[in-house]
Amino acid sequence: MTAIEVMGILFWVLGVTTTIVGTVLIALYIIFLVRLKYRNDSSNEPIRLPKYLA
Amino acid sequence: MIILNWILTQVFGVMTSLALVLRDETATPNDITLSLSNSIYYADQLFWIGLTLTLYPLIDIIFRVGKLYGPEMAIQVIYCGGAINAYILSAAILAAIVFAISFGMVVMAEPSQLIENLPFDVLKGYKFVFLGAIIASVLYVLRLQVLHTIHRDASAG
Repeated sequence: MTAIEVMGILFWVLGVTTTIVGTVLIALYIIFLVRLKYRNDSSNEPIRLPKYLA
Repeated sequence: MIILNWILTQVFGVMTSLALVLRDETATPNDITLSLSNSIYYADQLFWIGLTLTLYPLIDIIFRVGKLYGPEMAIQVIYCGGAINAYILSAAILAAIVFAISFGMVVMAEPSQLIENLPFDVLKGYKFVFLGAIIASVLYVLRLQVLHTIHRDASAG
């Protein structure tokens, strides 16, 4: 296996990982934003971003 | 509005890429249709949208860390930390490198030769890197927007 083939595989892995992980995180952020929009304002709880999204 | 700012930046990349695709298609019509799996054949044109997609997070983080947006934005330095941001920025840097490599390779190669035998193993992951760059860039802005909204709501309430 040549160096350029290894580089190709690495780039492929990078692309696939970013696509999958990124899509999941985008969904989580959107869910958080929607929940933030429709939260009960009367509750005095401070808004906290979950640690896995910080 | 951070998202609006990002969209405005991407418009330049999309317009440049579209202009180049139109120019090349009218000069020498290409048999290959533009799709995700064939995106590598259009790497020289898609480079420009890739550039705006990947450079937006990288330049924005420099501005935020250096407080170059002004003293009133200094609070936003706290937005620069975190593992997710580090991952997004590393992915953006690597995607920018892939775009630069593929741009050079496709510009130097004859498209017909490229179609016949695609010898560039390095380019096989191009479509995923392109998708990943779009998602990483969107994720960066979305994360900033979420943090900005929380900060705004917290200071308002």
